Amino acid sequence: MPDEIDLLRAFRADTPGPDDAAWERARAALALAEGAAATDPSARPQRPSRIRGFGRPRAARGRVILAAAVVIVVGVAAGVLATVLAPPPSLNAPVTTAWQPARPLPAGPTGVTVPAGTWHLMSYLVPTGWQENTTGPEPGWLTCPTAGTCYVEGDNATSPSGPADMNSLYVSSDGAQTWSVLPVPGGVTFTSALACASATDCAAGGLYYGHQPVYLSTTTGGHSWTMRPLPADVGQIITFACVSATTCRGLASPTGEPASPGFATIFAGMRFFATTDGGRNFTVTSFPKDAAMQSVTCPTDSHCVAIGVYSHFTAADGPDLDHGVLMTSADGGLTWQRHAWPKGYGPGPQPEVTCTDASHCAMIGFVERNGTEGNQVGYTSGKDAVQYTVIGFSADGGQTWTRTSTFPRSMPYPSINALTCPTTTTCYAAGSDLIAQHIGNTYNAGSSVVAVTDNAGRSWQRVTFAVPAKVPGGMQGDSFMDIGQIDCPQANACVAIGVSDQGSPSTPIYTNHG
Amino acid sequence: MDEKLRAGPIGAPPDFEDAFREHFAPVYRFIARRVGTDLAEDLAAEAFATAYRRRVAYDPDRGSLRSWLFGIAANLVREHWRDEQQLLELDARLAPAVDIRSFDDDADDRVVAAALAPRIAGALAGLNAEQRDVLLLHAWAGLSHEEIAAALGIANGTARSRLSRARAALRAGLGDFDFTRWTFKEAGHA
Repeated sequence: MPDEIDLLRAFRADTPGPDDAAWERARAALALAEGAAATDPSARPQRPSRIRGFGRPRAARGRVILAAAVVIVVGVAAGVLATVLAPPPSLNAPVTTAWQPARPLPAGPTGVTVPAGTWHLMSYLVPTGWQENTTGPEPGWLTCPTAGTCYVEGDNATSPSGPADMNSLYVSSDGAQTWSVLPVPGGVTFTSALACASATDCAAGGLYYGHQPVYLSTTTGGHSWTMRPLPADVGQIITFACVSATTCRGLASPTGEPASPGFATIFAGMRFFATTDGGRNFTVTSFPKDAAMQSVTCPTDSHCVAIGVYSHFTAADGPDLDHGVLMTSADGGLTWQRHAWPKGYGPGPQPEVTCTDASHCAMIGFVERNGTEGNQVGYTSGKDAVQYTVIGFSADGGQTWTRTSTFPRSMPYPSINALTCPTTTTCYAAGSDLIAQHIGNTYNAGSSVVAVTDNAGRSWQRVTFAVPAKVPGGMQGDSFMDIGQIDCPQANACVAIGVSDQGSPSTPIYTNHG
Repeated sequence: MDEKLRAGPIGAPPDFEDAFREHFAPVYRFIARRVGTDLAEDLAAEAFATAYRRRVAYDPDRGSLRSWLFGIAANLVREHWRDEQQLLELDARLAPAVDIRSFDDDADDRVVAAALAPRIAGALAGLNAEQRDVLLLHAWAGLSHEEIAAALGIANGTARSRLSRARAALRAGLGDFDFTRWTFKEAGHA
């Protein structure tokens, strides 16, 4: 029986092959590449160099000019070489940057709302400023320490609203209605989300000039920063949280490199670290060798829960997403006890656990199996064809877990990216589902969803977000298909941001307040 | 052909010349189907120039030469996402050339596809870049899961699940098309 692939194969099947001009154009490009290779020392074997002689004597003045030119060329070349070969700057001691003002960003389009219960589209982050950029920019991490204050780390991108190759920090102090942009210290890229103990006391992991792990902290809401080089045994900070301006705990990676190319969020060799003096000193704890922990939460000074994947996997195949590693600590992460992984789901490609207190925890669980995945408009089948996420809950501090009641039937195959629980019973799970909708004249198989429970997962309510009729110019709509992050510092005070993909010039922001 | 591309460094290595002759036409056509023939001429040329420049990085143990070349092509097409999107959206707005209610049992795939072209284009336009890449590398370039993984530098499982999702999304985009009867479930949905 024909299927959608057969149909697709026939679509545009009459497209002609290359004509003579196309062949000639390609041959010309190859000839150019070949010529470049001939002059590119890295693309050819090194041959012994020889001193080039001049075959004909020249006038004395000419020799002087030639000699001068050679001196200049050699000097310039030496300068260029020195620049190229010079190591990137390093940080040897803490540095505190000067206070920088925030620059307001243009307001988002007005009058665009998404009727979805009490949720609505609040604004577009960087609504008009991005240059066309076909590889991004992807939004950075979202952190909302209070109902009014939110931060979004900006990814590398070129924008007229920021410096070249910008690493910016966006901040809102009115519940995500309007945004300003703050510069981050020169040469710094974030490696973790901001961890905030208050609206203005925040910290983050970073890289200094792309090579040196640093610890960044601010007590001014990002207007000034203190950068401290991280000890080698800490590595690169991937995720952490702060209970005060000086006490923070989280996970760090030795290299910061994903463990497998297809799983950008899985890191090997993760360590637990803690600081109680604002990044001056650290304690570091290793996990068992067979465990690659990916997410940790410490709701109290002593109690911590960590989840991850088994570390025995090849880079090509990726980790086992169906069986995970679960550990708890009762001494603030100094020692860890292993527990049985919950039945019925795995850690998935983006393991995430969160605890509201020492008893109540929740995690994103991942289910995949062979079979047929279908809904009212389509299906697919095969090995691991059925994939969706569930939310697990624990009432004993993460030692044992009960699988949640399933999401509403209207969420047949949810792909949850982020989970936040502002109270012991209220949680918000955000991501996408195979819920078809129209975007302009086209169909779209995905919809952004937020699932809300106020009874620890016994029942859920679904909120979906239709793509607005008027999206900003050039926006592909992809940002409206999936929610990447959500943060709810308190119940009914949430901010969520869409994912950005392949040239979407702005990022939708949703709230259920304001 | 020896797939190692172990070429002499300079001077139109015979192996690369063979690769060019064998794979240029299918790679060109893959690009042309995605972004149109106007752009395809430049992009296909650039794909092979890129392959030539990077030939020492090609590792046959990580995937076939074909998948490597299509991977380069897919990356180049990605940089022209907007052109591809505009082309799809144009196709999506076109009226079908054939009345889709008049299919008979003998209608072949091409006739059905022509009639459904606006729907297919609309469905493809609704896919994100990752889904579109795996789907079209599979359908138009004929790459297997493993070859797609090699082409895009992702894990096999990721390629498999991404393709699975993309197929579901395409089906969803085709709405009420009945694959068992090869027609729409209800007449009149053009």
